[in-house]
Amino acid sequence: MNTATQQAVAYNYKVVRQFTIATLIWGLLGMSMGVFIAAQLVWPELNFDLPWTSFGRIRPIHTNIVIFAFGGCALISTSFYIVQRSCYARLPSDLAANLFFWGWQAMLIATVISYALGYTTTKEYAEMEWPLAIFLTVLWAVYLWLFFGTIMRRKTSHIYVANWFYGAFIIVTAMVHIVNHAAIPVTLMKSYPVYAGATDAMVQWWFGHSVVGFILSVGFLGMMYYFVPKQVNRPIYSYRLSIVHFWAIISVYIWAGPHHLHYTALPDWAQSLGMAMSVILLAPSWGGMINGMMTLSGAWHKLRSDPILRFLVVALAFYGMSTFEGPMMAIKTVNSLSHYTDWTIGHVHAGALGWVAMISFGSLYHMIPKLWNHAQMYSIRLINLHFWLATAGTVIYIAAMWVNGLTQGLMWRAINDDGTLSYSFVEVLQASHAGYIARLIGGSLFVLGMFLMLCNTWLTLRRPAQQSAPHNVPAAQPVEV
Amino acid sequence: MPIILSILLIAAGYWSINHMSLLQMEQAAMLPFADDPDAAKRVEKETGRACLPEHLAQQMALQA
Repeated sequence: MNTATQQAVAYNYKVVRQFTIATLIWGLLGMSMGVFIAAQLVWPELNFDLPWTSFGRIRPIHTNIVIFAFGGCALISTSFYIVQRSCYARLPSDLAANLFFWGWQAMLIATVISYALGYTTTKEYAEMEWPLAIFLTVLWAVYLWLFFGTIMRRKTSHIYVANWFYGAFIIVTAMVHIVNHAAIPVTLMKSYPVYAGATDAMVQWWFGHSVVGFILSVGFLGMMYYFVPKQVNRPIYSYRLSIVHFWAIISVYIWAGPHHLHYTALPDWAQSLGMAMSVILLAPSWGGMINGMMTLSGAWHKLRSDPILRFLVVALAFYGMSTFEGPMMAIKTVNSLSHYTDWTIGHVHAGALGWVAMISFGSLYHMIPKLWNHAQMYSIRLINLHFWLATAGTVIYIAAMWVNGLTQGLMWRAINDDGTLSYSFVEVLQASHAGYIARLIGGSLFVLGMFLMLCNTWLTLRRPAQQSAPHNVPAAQPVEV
Repeated sequence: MPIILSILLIAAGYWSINHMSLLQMEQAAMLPFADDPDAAKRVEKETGRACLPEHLAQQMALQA
């Protein structure tokens, strides 16, 4: 039996491959949607006066695709890859893994269609109506069983720390999804939350910030803890630090949600608590960033020739930057200027493009050749070009939003001697126009890079696979074939 | 309830750090390489830490 067949016996790579391809397709689609709505803000005529092409409907489609489709598929594919390889165990059921893949895709497609038709709970990142929310819960339970089932079957005594992060992401996402979607259905596609008023807002942003914290931070830190050491060929800088910052980050993140509700009807003590916890959060967040960065100490020269490593390191740099910016923006006085402005959009995209997308790109570029038995991607030059397009796109995007955000915040709070507002809303909008154009350019560059990645993957997959793939069977535990 | 949960998490963190020795942590950090013999040998050479099962067994025997 050749090694490729042994690998199929040892690990379930089929589902990892499926989710990897889905990540790339959804990524291109979701980011293209983002560029389209950015263009709508420059040229409002692009709303076409149709309800299903309006900004209000396409924006949640964009956010849900990039978070749950692109980000979700990236996390699921890498988690299945890592948990199998670091536990020397196959997923507990191939059938369940297959059903989970197709179920996840069906759920995503149904979600996108329902948003375009106007079915929405209006809750940010939780817009899906109750039948879809229940479907997602069932799928998540299958995912939880597949992941933890593999850990239960492990051949190693220790569970590698990357799996801790993935485990926390899976458990907490289930918890906040169920609590936030508690609703009373009135028709097949309409429900009302069981919470009301400020409580509803608090539950929503407890969920909303936990999505940021546990899906977009903790989950992707799991990715970082496996792929950065693998790509550098060095163990993680400090395993002790990884454990300390794991427990610290999961203890603190869940408390930070109220900073989304500064100066609202939420009790002041809750706002202040959210602010304090957000500032404390800087320490564990930077613990992960420093641990990842320091893994390269003594190996920085590898950045000169390895664009995959560049993706991973620049992602860590953006993670450090956005997790510094976040706590600063959570401080009430800063928030009074930044909230409701484009600064928030810039902050989110520093994390989404700079951290989430870039760490995913680096990890997938590492993983794809191994999944399909190739020595490397079809073109390293294309990876390099993708890296520069993604970096330039992210920098242009966030710089444009910073400028816009500060402009908007300062113009909104400017008042005349008689107490009236110095600027009308339209004047602020006109001042933002140049920033919207710059954002469109930055976003387009990023999507172009994503398209190149899809082409590079297609060209890699078209090549005949190598006959011998020496790295795909467990070394510590002989494979039974 | 959230306060109790946070205390439990901190206690779990304290326990997980204290129940592992430095050597165990160093070995745990090598786990991602153990599934790739070539990379494992390279990393062992660079870091001086054991990674492959036969080397780990050797190290354990020496310690004992």
